[in-house]
Amino acid sequence: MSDHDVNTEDHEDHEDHDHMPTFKRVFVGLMVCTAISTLVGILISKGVFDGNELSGWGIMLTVSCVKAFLVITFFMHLKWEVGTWKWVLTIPASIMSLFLILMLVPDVGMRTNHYTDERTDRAAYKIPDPDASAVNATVGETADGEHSAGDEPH
Amino acid sequence: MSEHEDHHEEHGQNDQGHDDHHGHLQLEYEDALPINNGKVCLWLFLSTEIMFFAGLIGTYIVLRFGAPAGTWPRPHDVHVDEIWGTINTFILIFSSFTVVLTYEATKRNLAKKAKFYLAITFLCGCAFLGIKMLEYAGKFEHGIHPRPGSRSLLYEQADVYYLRDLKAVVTGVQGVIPLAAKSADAEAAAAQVPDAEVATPSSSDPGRETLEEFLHHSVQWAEYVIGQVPNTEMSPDGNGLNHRDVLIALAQEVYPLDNRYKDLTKYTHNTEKTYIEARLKVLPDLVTAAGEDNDVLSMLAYEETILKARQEYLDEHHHSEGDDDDHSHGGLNVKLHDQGSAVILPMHIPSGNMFAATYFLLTGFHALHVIVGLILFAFPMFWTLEKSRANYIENVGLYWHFVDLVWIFLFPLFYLF
Repeated sequence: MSDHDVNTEDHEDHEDHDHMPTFKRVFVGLMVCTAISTLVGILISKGVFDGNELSGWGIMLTVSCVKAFLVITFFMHLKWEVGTWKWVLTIPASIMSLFLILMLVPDVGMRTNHYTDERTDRAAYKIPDPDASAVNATVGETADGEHSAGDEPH
Repeated sequence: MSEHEDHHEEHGQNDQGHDDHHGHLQLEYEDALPINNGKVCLWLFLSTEIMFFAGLIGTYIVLRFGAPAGTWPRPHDVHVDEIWGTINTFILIFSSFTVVLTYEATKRNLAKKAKFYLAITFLCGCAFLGIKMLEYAGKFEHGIHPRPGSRSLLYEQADVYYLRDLKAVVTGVQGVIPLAAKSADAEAAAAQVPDAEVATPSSSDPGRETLEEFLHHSVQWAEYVIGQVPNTEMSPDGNGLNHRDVLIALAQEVYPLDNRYKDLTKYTHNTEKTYIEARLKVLPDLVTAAGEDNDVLSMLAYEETILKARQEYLDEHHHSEGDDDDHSHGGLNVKLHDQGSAVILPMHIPSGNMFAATYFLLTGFHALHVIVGLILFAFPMFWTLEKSRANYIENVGLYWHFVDLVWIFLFPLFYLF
């Protein structure tokens, strides 16, 4: 225990310039980011983003990534850590988690894209058929339907 | 060297301390990492935590985005309120900031200041958990939870099974009497009502009357439509009603889905009205045609009762259509809840079960991490936070920042999408 303390004390001495202004700025930045996310979320629920929710979601996830970056770099001191260990411990784990998500995409994320007719009939909810845009005109998503039908006539 | 080794072999087993004097080799150790062991371990742990939460969050994202448009509940459909989410986000970020302050103060040997910031952090964690608890309680009250062991109240589809279970719940409430199928039964039922009320004055549900009305003007109507009205979904040219739409409209009476089916409900109610008017015109002729066949007559009488009950409801409903708020929020379940009823009717929420499962799994694991963090913060509350404690504070702080990090992603995904 005691040698650890000595170790950090050494370490601190040259690291001890005041980071407080930085921390305060980061804190304010995080608050602003949260406000942006919340604003976008409220706008989505008010229907402002109707039809292109995806861009709203994109904004929110980007903001989240910025917040995560701020927390990791400054609050978790990763910016001031010396050595390669920080990359060794964070990058492989991050890549691994990215692959965890990507591996789920074909079977889970695209689960309704290639249903057989029989499965579509028995699905719990009505699944919009991208190939049958004419039928879907009543549902109201005409623009997307026409687009995909026009581009890929199977 | 060999002397030492022999010596070691003879006495090695008992002589634990001997190895310490072993090294006249004068090995010089270099720090493998420029940080203390505790921090290495904590970062190793955090890198496994990254994968753990990435797996959970990733599964949610993939399920959420893989659901066809309109088949995942909007936050307001499932009593998720972005205001509480935002407050909790602010609380958690603020507590992350105060951990940083605690660490900085501890490093500078400012024990009192450190303890002050630590106490704020601890309180923030408690506040977060408190709000989370209230949110959970609110969802449980409204029946939004995965139900192990019995049927869930969340239905993927408003179909005949939904109708069956809805009816079972409504008629299962003590004192709720269906519209009688025969006029003779109607009298008997009318006679029974006071009995039932006298017999069980205390145990009857506060929402009994609401439920009975709902049974009369909606559930039995839907049942009648399914059983006797031709389905225009099967034969679009025929004279009848679209069964699917009627059931969805019924489900909207119980639990409206954030205006998603508002237009469909309006349209369906209008077609219902037209159908009822047409049918009521035909009925007298049918009665004449039936002559003295009592079975047919009683059936026609029953049909008339149902049609009129529905017509009455639709007329009332049409009048109150003016103030939109009355219809778009609320629904029967909220009304029952406000009346203090213990009954929660089955709800039609596409992907509702999937939502409940992922929501409680993710926020539950996160809350568990918050609890662990609070325990870790509880120990230093009893210490003097001088410089020698800085390592502990730093490591717990790192863990706490990670918990904050997870919430940074959970917040938009669950509250704002």
